[in-house]
Formats: sequence, structure tokens, C-alpha cells
Amino acid sequence: MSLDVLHDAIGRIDEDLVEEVDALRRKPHQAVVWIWIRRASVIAACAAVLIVGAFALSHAGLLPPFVANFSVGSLHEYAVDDVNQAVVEYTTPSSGETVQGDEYSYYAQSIESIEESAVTVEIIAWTDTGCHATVLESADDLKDIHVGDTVEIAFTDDILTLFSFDGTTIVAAERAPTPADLPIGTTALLWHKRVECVGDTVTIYAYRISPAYETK
Amino acid sequence: MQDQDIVELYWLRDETAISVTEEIYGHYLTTIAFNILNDSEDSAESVNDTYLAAWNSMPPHKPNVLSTYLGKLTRRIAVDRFRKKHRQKRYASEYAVSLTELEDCLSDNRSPEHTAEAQLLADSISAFLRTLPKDTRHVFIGRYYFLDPLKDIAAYCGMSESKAKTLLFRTRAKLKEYLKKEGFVV
Repeated sequence: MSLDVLHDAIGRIDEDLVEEVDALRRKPHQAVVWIWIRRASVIAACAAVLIVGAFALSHAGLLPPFVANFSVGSLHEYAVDDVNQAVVEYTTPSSGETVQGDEYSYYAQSIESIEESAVTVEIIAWTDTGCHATVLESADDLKDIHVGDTVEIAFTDDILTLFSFDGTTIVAAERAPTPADLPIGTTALLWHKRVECVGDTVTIYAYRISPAYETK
Repeated sequence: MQDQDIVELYWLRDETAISVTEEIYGHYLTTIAFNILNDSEDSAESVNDTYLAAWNSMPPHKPNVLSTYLGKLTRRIAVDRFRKKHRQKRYASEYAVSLTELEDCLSDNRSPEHTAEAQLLADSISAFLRTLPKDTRHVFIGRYYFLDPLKDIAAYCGMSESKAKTLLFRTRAKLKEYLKKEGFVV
């Protein structure tokens, strides 16, 4: 086959195929840079929708509260993501300083920096399914949780109880806390997935709970 | 004026058909010719020959899309002109010149064998092109039918030049394989 034959053959391809491209050629077309700008805009819009959607779901209690996890400091991220991972330092959320970890400062920071979906309570009674507590602080001030309210605390199936921090490792247990872990009168910090209101009873479903320590 | 109206003028043997065609499609056809010849004068002559060919072919032809039909005529005329010109350059002998002059006596310079082979091949290429994704097909036809520069193809296909180049490279390789399977000697 000669090159001339091949070239002539291409000149004889079906007309509908040629018309398709002909229409494209004759249409005023955008510069490639504009096409990329348009694509980038679409990607940015999708990202914005995802972020807003995630926030909305988190507020509705349908997603774990991710804001709190990051704002309490890297130590908390470790505690939530991998409870047995050694931690040597973390960034305090209040000052932004990087601090060598110690038990008391971590919990103190936790109390000072309660973020969305984190609630500080005082345990006032234990029941078969959980405990009763008084709300001491609620940063997000959800409409159903107010400081001074008495609430019921129930535990989700994936509850993780955080204990003391020995300077390098968070000690945690994949179980609900017992009265021995959090005796009556203990101040506890909890993160919840949802809040349920039936009549006057408000139940907080906690998925992370830890005793809170006073600042020295 | 719509394509159908212009075609109607040709069928009525109204000479304004040519001036209207020139006005609407002159630039478009010149671009096709220039892509092949890279010479303004030759391109202009090819486009003039296109008008004549259109006048002589309508009737009996009644194309639905006039631009495609005229573009096809221009392409063929410009390719013939290109070959003729380059043959003259390569063989500056009286024999070559006389052959070229004699070609003018034929309505179609191609032999019947050449035409038949080209048509068979064209059918296979059309079938092959239909198997390709739209983007790839557009790039291929833009490059080898309209002979557009890569930069222009990339612009009207909405992609980068390097992507168009890569698509062409892969499509050529695929076409070769396809034609081999179809029994063509490539």
C-alpha cells in the first residue's frame, strides 16, 4: 500500500465522521487555559460542597466530630487514631507551642480547649446502662445540652475509654468505663456521636470518654 | 443563507451560488488548502477549482452538509496539486512535465485500481475510527483529514498539545495493527 493510497483513503472516510469534526472545527473554541480554569473551578466547587456537607453531617451527629480531634492537639489525634502509639510531643491548642507530653498538661489542655461535640461533665450516679452527669461545660452549646443540666450518658458500641498518660503512651481500653474508672464526683471529658431527647430526658451517646484532670 | 438554499442555487444553475459559497465558505476552504499546500497562491487556485468542481457536481449531487462536501473537494484538489508540484520538482524532465500535462486531460488523475484500493481502505479506516473514543477520533480526523496543525487540534478538542500528540501516536500504532488484521499489506 502506498502512502498516496492511504492518504486518499483517509480523504474518503465516511462523511458523518468528517461532519462531526467539521462542526467542532467551525465552532468558536476556548483556549486550553480557559478549559483548565473551568476544570479547576469545578474541582474547587466539588471540594467546597464536600467540606460543607461534612460539617453539616458532623453537626447533625451523623459523623464523628473531626474538629475536636484536631483542635485538642496532635496528642489527641494519636489517642483517637491509635491508642497505643507512643507520643513524644504535641502542640498545645491554646498557645500553639510544641510541648513534651505529660499527663496532666494534656488533660488540662483538653478541658481548656473543649471543642465541637466535646462536653465536660461531673458524674453523679451510675446505672446499669451508663451514668447520670451534670454538664459543666459544652463548647458547642448544642441546643439540647446546657451547662447545669443533668443528662444521661450512654456508650456507643465502639466506646473507647482513655486513662492516664504516662508521658509516652496513652493508656486506653476498648470498653465502656466502669464506676471504678470514673467514680461519682469525677469530672469527665466526653465526645459524643449523637444526643437524644425524650421528654425532659437528654441522653448523650459517648464514643470517647476520659477523666479530666485539674490544672496543677 | 442555509446550505440547502445554496445547493438549490447550484441546481438552478444560478451563478450567484458561487459568490455565496465564496462568501460563506471561502475562508474555511482556503484554510484546508493552505494546510496542504502551505502556499497562498496555490491555495487560492485550489479553492477556485473547488468552486468549479462544485458547479460541475451539483447536480447530480445534493449534499446535506455543504461545508463537508466542499471541504472534501478542496482536500482532493489541493492534494493533487501538491503531488503534481512535488513530482515536477523531483523529476525536472520533459517526460515528467508531459505526464503532468497529460493528467489535466483526465477528470480524475487516479487509476481505477488506486481508487478501488483507496475506497476499500477508507471503509476499513472508517470502521476503525468508529471503535475509538470520540476525542481520539476527532484528533485523528483533524490531523489526517483536515491536516490541521496540532496546536489548532488541541484547541478545538479541548486538550493539551502533548496529549493530542500522544493520542495520535497511539492511534497510528493501533491503525497499523487493525489494517494488518484486515488483510492490508502495510
